Amino acid sequence: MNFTINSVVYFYDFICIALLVFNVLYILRSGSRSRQEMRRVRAWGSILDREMGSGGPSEKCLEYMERRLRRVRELTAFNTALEARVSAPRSEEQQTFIDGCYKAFQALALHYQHRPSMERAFFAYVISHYPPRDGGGQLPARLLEFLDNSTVYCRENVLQALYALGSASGIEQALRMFNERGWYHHSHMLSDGLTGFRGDRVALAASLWADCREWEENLQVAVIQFASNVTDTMKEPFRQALADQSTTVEVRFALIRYFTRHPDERVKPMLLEMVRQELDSGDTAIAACSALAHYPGQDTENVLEKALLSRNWYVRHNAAQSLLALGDEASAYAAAERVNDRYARQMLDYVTGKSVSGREAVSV
Amino acid sequence: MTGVISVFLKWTGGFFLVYLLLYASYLFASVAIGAYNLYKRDRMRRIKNELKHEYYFPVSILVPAYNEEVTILDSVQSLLNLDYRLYEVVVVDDGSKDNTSQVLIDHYHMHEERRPIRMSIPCQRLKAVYEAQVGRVRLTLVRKENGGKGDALNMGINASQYPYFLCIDADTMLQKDSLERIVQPVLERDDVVAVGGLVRVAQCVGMQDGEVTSYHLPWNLLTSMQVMEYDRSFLASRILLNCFNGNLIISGAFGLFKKDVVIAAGGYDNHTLGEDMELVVKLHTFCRNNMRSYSILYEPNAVCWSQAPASLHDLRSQRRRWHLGLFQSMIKYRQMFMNPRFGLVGSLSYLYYLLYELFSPVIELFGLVAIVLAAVIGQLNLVFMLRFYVLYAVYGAILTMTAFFQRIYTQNLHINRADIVKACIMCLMENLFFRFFLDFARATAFIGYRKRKNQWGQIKRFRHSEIR
Repeated sequence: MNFTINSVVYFYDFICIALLVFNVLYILRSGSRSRQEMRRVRAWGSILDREMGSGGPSEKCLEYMERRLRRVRELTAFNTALEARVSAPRSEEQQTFIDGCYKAFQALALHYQHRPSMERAFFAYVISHYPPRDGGGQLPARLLEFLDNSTVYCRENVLQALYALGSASGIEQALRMFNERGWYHHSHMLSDGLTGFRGDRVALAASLWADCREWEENLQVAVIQFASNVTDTMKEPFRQALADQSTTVEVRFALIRYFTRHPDERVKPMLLEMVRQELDSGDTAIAACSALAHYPGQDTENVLEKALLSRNWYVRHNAAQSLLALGDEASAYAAAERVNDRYARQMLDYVTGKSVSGREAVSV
Repeated sequence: MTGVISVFLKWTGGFFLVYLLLYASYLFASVAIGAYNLYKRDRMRRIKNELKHEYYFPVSILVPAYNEEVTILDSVQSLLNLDYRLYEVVVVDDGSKDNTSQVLIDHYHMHEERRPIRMSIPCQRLKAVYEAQVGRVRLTLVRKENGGKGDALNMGINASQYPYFLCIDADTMLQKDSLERIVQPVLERDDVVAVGGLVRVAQCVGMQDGEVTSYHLPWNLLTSMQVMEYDRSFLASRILLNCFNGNLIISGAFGLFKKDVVIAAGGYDNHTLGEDMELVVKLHTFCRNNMRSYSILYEPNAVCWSQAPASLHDLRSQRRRWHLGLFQSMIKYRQMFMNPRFGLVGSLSYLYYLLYELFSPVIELFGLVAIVLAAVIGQLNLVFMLRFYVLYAVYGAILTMTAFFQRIYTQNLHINRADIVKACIMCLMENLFFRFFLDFARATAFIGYRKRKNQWGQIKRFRHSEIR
């Protein structure tokens, strides 16, 4: 037993010493790392100052970049130095320099393609911040190669680079890969990113929608949200999709939100029908009630009055909100009187923020 | 008789060897994995592997408060300057006996709103709602009848308007980027229902406009030792348990939750002292029972600063509450233990909390009894025992130092040489002496349990500007 315990003690003695050495080395390395980083940034700064002043990177400079920027720590320093020298909006001199750098970046993309995901992500980040004016030639295709075996950060940075390069085909191809490989990417990140696309956004929305009908729900929602942000020209295809019974609930939600933002009278009967059909149970009735605030008319008010009686709290809530938006407060309360329901009146109180008991706040 | 005692001591020795070996290995594995994880994340941050985005989903920050007139202004002020596009702050005054509400109403010129609140989760009666628009942030104060912290949080959930809520303590201060960082896991995965952040000791830090301006170890020994303990615990076990979705605790001082899942699970329990742990274990149970894919994650880059108790009395009271809360949750959800449906959460995580958290004071007491017994019958090897004890303490201290310095360097904090020396001494003291005090607090936790089980834990608070 003593032998065993002593062995254990010696083993942990060894671990203690190893950890102490690790700690000391880590502290020493952390200090020297930042000093080296500063030296590298200064070195790249002087190169950039020289080359920017001479109208663009020379062949010698491009060779040097191609060789040095293969190491991610050099690329980090290059990025920091460039960031300090490039203003927004960019001057002609700055943009010319960036355009010139792309001869080196094309070659570097081939190199980074085989690097770990973290480094690929950083290379894509640099591209997304300093895109050339000509779309980068072969670069979008090479960036697509970065996507396999990557992390969510790498995928996001690659997408950002494609948006910045204005490559519609690259984006379509990337989203197709997302769908085929089953990669999750938050729909809001996709739609917001697409909104920053530096090209014809309306054409991109149309072509993505033409492709994405068979894609994952999350991607379809992202495309609809993107279209919602940039154009009202998608009413016809979206109307057809809303009429299609095979369209999933989340996609229908997104479509209804599109028609909330870009009303289309031809959609009104569908919205009214959704509320009538799914008064107590349907999820789409919740969104439809909200959208109807933008579709005035007696038929709308009749349906919303009925929706005030729904067993679903959210349907009642959105119906009350829409009634208030369509008319004045008095007419909304008159509607609640007509259906003669205490919960309908309470919901209007809730939405208008009125207390039913006067002095104290109340619970609903 | 001596023969029986000898056999007993032999078996006891064997048990402790295995027990300590397992714990030492766990500690080593967790610090090593935690340190590697932090190093990797630090590198990822430096080379822009992060989701920096214009869009983030809106978040409601819930601040339950009870007799917090001293700290509430500092805390709320730190919440109004966050780098985040859309959020609201909801302070819930749980029937305070001091001027918690009045301080807020006067400072922010809040006006009473008679708006109703939808009670998705039942809680004590609502008294009044006050609101103010402070810059771009809507600040809401909800006054209600006293019902405990869990009840106050439930009211906050009811009064909040956004799909995610962040619960923090009334003495917690957030860094400018804390909210942006704690939502990152939700953007990365679609099944995240809760995210815990890193809680650090507020007495160490100087902050201005949500940014850390200085970092030092406090002069109060008790607080300093808690700094070490927090760093070890948040670096070590939480990152390790995070590897297999096995965290059973998200600190009430800083945690993000998906509101609809929390409501569906029934919200916070009003009848437990550890409502934060109870909710997390409840979410595990709810999601597993309903066969719902879920993740409960820990995000070490999201940092909040919370005041640690500065006196023995306050510390003892806090640790008693924590231990009782742990006991209540472990008992309530005992069906998790070794249940195949719960996977590693029900086996590894549960077993760790059971053996090394809940039962540890009893086991250590048992060890002391065995030592006394061995001394009485003359079988105690005093030299070996002392050597083993010191070695174990040094081992723990070095692991704690690793955790502490990892935090310092990965967060780009700077400390002077005196603080480095102080940190080393504190690590050793924490492992040599402090643990016995904590064991004592936990071992005596059940005294007065029935009487105090629904009360708010109160510790003496200081205005942040007065802490040094």
